[in-house]
Amino acid sequence: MTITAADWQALWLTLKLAGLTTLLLFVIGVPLAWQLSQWQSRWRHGIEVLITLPLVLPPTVLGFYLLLLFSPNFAPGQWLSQLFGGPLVFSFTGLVFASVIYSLPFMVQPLLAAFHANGQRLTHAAAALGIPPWVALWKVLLPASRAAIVSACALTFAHTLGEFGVVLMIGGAIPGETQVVSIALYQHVETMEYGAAHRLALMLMGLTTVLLLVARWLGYVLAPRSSNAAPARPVVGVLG
Amino acid sequence: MVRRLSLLLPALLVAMALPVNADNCTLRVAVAASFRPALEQVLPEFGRRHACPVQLSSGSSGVLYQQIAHRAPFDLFLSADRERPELLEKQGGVLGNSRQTYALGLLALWHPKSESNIEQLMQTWPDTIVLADPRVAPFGNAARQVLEGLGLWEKKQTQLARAHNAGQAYLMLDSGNAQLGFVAASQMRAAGRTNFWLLPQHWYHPIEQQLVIPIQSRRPQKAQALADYLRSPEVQAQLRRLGYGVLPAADRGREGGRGL
Repeated sequence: MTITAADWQALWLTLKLAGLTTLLLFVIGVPLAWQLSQWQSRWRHGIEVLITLPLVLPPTVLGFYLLLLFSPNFAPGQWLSQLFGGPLVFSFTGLVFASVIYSLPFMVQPLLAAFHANGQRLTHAAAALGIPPWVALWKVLLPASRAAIVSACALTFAHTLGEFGVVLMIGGAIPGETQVVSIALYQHVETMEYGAAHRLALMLMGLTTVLLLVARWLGYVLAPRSSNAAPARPVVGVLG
Repeated sequence: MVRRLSLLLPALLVAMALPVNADNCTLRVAVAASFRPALEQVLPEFGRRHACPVQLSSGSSGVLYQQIAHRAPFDLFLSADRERPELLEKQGGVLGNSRQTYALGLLALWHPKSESNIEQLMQTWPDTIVLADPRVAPFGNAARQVLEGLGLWEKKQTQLARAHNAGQAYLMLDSGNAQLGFVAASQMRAAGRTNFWLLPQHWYHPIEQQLVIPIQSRRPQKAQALADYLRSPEVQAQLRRLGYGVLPAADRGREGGRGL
């Protein structure tokens, strides 16, 4: 079982990317899902559909449009370049940016489902007690949605681990910067180094399996228990 | 009614899963994505001479090789390299002496300025240089040889962005995400671009694109006819206009004895 230094580097980079993406998406996803669950407007459906789009769009197509978005030939690319202090293409920052878009539905959907289920009831109860909405979110709704949060984070993390098409288009396979496991794996297969490919794939699958099992267990442990309700089952299951 | 449906549904599913029965005339060609546009240019004439339709499947040479090695039903394989047809031949997966070079790829440098000298431009270039991944793509491998020849391979390591193949390298440059990079001359020709250098051919090993007739080919004669047509002087002249090189006179078995 020899794993090359380049493979370790790719593995570490992938974990870093998935971790950072999950963290950022949590910070973006919670207020977004909450806002959507509170919102009564017809626009809500449009926004929810928009958030689902990265699920539908083939990753290479998403990557292609990101390549155009990052291009310094157009205004958005120039603006992004200024904002992030350099071009996003061929950079780790660019991969994080892309992963946030790519994994957005995996964070928002489970949270939305949980907030829809409990949101109205709990926030109304909190409002009746004179608790301001943001405090209600933080102190009441989030603790009540623990299982969904664990699911959302686990799915986001796992989905980003396996990200391939998007990275292929915008990454440039730079070791230590954009050469993630999926790319390294594909290169092994393309160059017919099947042994190396099997080892890396095995590691990735082992890692993901352990991660999802831990998430399931956490979801189970954290699920709210009341005398009259069965523990909510975490929805960690299907991987994108 | 429900019972009848319950019988009908599996039957339908089975029917859908059956392979579409290609008539015993269609020629199935697996072609490297980079060569597909050129092939589509020269196919109509072949179609006029032979009654049967030609069905193209394109993808990366590596993926097509995998499929053909696992007996995917292709009648002819046009690879973008020499290595994979050779491998198929070694594995006994091709018909007798069917391995032949059908095109010669030419390496081009996409560059922003027309007046400068290549070597100097490469030396002083401060930004990203795009190339296809040398480990995977023939054009990337040739680009690597050029950089090594100029003594820049090690020096420019941190500036290199590796695209998966020549097509993607072109896209990175075309979208403005990089200004300098190695592409195929055929891509530049196809796009009607003139802002490129044709790199001297002695700077890199010839990018020989070879074809084979897989052992599972159901129409080997027809496949051979298409192979001969591609190597005919008229098509070769057309390919030269499309940015491909002149075929070497002795294009086979340069290493003497041929495999199995």
